[in-house]
Amino acid sequence: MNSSKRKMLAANELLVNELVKIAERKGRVLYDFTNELITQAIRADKMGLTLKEVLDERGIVEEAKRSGFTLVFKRLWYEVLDRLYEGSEREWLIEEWRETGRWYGKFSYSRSPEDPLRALENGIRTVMWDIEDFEVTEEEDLISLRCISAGFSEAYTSLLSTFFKGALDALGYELVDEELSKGIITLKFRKKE
Amino acid sequence: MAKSSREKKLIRVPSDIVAKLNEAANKAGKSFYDYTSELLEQALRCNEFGRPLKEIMDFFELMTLQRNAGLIITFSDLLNYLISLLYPKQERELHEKWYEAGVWYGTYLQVKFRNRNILDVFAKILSESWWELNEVNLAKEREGFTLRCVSFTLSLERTKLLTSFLEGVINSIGYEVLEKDCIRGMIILHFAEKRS
Repeated sequence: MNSSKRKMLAANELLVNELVKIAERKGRVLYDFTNELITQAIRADKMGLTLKEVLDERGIVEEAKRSGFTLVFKRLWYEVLDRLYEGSEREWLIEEWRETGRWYGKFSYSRSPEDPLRALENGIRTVMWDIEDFEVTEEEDLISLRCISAGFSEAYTSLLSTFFKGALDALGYELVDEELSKGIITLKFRKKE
Repeated sequence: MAKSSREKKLIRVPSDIVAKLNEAANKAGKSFYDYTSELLEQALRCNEFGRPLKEIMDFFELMTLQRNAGLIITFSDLLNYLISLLYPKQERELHEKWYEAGVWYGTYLQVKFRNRNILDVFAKILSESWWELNEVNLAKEREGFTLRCVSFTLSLERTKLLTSFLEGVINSIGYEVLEKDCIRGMIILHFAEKRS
């Protein structure tokens, strides 16, 4: 992009060196390359986001894509789950969600072996768009998990809670307390002995 | 945090960008230098994805559009399996639901993109954010259009349901499907503008 008026911008030397290297590698003029980066960062800012948030989400979504997640209409997804939950497949369905939870727990561990609980929390917050409030807190030897969404059906609340129990089980925690009501999941765990 | 070096270097940028950066730094309550350094550091991170930052931002906006349209991310295998369980018993109802979702989505796109060619927008969205579609091709033909979607992972049932969804979208944006062909992982739809 060309602009008739130009100004000098003081930036951290290491960052500028890095910018120069990348621009050279891409065969770009530093002026245009910097301009493009800053323009996009301002675009993120206008969306009420930091570039870090955009990039973090991109990273998780890319990983979700690679790891076999897909996009589906929420109401169709709930419809399918409700129909199966009300039918004769309920027990099987619950077991399937527990297994998927276990898989996700292991997936979170593989993403961040040093802090899998945080990886699980961040992943769920980013990937599960239908969750309005999700928090995992650690207090002494107890892990509390809270998940809230007004739009959940009873079936989905129950299945999602099973999913969380599966995930925490895979991370070495056992359930000590559980409170469920439509759209609200509160679970407490402690480390298995 | 910005990389630790006390040394500064000057780079040339357009003056309007400096003004916008200044405004954004003030809004964030940070010094101009700190704000710019953090921003550049994050901007450099896009290198990790091997894609230009603009493309990353475009993708983010597309995902936001999908989220606002009521789409969520879920487990593909689980969805395939659950649909395969339900489909034999409730095929007609499921097709109706998927078709209705398509009609709704088409209407949503028309509202969101009033001044754009909805068909092009839809094809772009399909190819960029319908993850399980490996190939999406929309071609203009003498009699109308052909939409071709290819997936290596969709089950037969989900391919059929996606066909109903696509028909719903196409009908709601002013076209009618003249011919359809659907096998596991492949959908070909021929359609033309509705005659009033």
